[in-house]
Amino acid sequence: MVISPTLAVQPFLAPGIAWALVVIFSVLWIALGVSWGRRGSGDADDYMLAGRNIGLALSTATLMASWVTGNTTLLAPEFGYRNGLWGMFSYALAGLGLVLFAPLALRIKTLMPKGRTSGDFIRLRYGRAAWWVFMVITAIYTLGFLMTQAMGAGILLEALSGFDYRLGMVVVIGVSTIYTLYGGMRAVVGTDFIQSLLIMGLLVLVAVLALQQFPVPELHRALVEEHPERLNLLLPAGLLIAWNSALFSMGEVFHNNIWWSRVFSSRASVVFSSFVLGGLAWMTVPLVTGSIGLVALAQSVDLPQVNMLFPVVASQLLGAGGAALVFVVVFASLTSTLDSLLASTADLVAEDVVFKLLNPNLSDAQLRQATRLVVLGLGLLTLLLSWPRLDSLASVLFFTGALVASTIWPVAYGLYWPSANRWAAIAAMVSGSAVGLAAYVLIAPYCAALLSAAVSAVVMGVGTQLQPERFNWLTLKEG
Amino acid sequence: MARSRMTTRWAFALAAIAVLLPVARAGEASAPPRWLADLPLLQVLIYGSVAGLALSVLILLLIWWKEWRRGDVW
Repeated sequence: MVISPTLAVQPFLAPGIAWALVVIFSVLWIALGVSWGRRGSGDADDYMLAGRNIGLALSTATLMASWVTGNTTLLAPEFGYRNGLWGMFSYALAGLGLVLFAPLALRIKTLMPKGRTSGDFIRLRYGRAAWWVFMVITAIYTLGFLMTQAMGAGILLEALSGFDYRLGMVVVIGVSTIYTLYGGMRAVVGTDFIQSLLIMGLLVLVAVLALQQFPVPELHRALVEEHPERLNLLLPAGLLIAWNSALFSMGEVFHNNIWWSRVFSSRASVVFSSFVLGGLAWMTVPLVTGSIGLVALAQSVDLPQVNMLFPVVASQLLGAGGAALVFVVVFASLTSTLDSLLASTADLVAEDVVFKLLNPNLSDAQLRQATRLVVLGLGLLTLLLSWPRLDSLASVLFFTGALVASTIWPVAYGLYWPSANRWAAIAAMVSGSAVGLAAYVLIAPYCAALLSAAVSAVVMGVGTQLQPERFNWLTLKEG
Repeated sequence: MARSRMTTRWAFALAAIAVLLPVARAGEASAPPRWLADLPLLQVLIYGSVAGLALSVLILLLIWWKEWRRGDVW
């Protein structure tokens, strides 16, 4: 079957069906989240870290669901469409961040059995000055991430179903905030499990149906004739983009509290396996969605916006059912990422700023209450910041690659080298960020994370060799 | 003696340039190297990733079922 190369300007899904899907899934997430939130012991650790005893299935699923953002389902097909096989590989390599974090996760769990946040580690390991630098980097990244997900929600629901931009945004942020507020990390992890199964299962269904309509031999023949460069495996720029993507993802995972909170929430026996399994499973998602991009290219589909490629192809190949499947996948991807961001950032702010910096005398109940208030405040702040629609914000988020890549080596060295120097860590984060940002502007965006990580590694290594410290690992136990 | 060593080095350098420059220019003029993925490789990539994703769902469900029976989910 050949996709008709028409310009799709109408929403892909009838508003009635879209509303029905939104109501069903919103009610489901809130009901399940609130119900799971009531299960625990009710203390701050339970609210922030789901009781620190999550098993392998939930731990792997929550990593998968949090890492599958709206971008993974919509930008990865665009990468396949624009850059062919190297585009798909480069997106898939972002899964390396999770896989490579696995040994570090195990080390964190061993060194910090009572730890709560990534900020705890930086403060105890390198001191308050390094903590400030780290918190600035993580604040810029997290706010950018929250805003892109919220704006993405508004833009995507508008394109898929004709919802007003602000209405779609309010629905997604509202639903995620409500169940995170009432259920804490238990609600996030529990809903992530179902969301990840939904995302993966429906993607398999869409891919199988699409490949039945347009088999791979036909796809290969069309690409060789019309777009052979998309199949070229010898692209030096492709290799550079792929490794930049891997380093960007390492920076995101190594520094951000989304992933640290999963380490602290999981049982020690499953931490390593869950990061490896989650990363490997995640890598298949951009390859599958990227293949849909290749199908669109081979069929010469005329696209109104290239980032709408996945819904266009799904709805043209599979009709209204395909559009509904894509809608559910996108809705699940957005809510699963937003809930994780809200919960882990609230943990970071409540533990590191409210408790450890402003009021160390907070009781357990007060800390729990503070975390809930921060969840609510973050939800409202995200809504406020995302109210004016900015279509170009995704490129701003890519700036943060330069910042987060500079944290890779301070975190990794700090976990394994007792000699890692605190001033070297600060200099590594600052110089890596500065060089990465300069590279972004002066050379190319895909050099930013590479150069940032390289400079940060050299500064960290040289600084530590010149003035080694003797860190006592027991200091981290108190975190 | 030293002067003759210098002259020999210059002679070698000029000879090397004379040989390598045309090779480098020929490389510049020719099309960039290409290695197109053939059909079996594309099939492995696409079918493999779809199968991997399907397998991930099954593995997750299986692990969850085993943990649920042991009461180890949370």
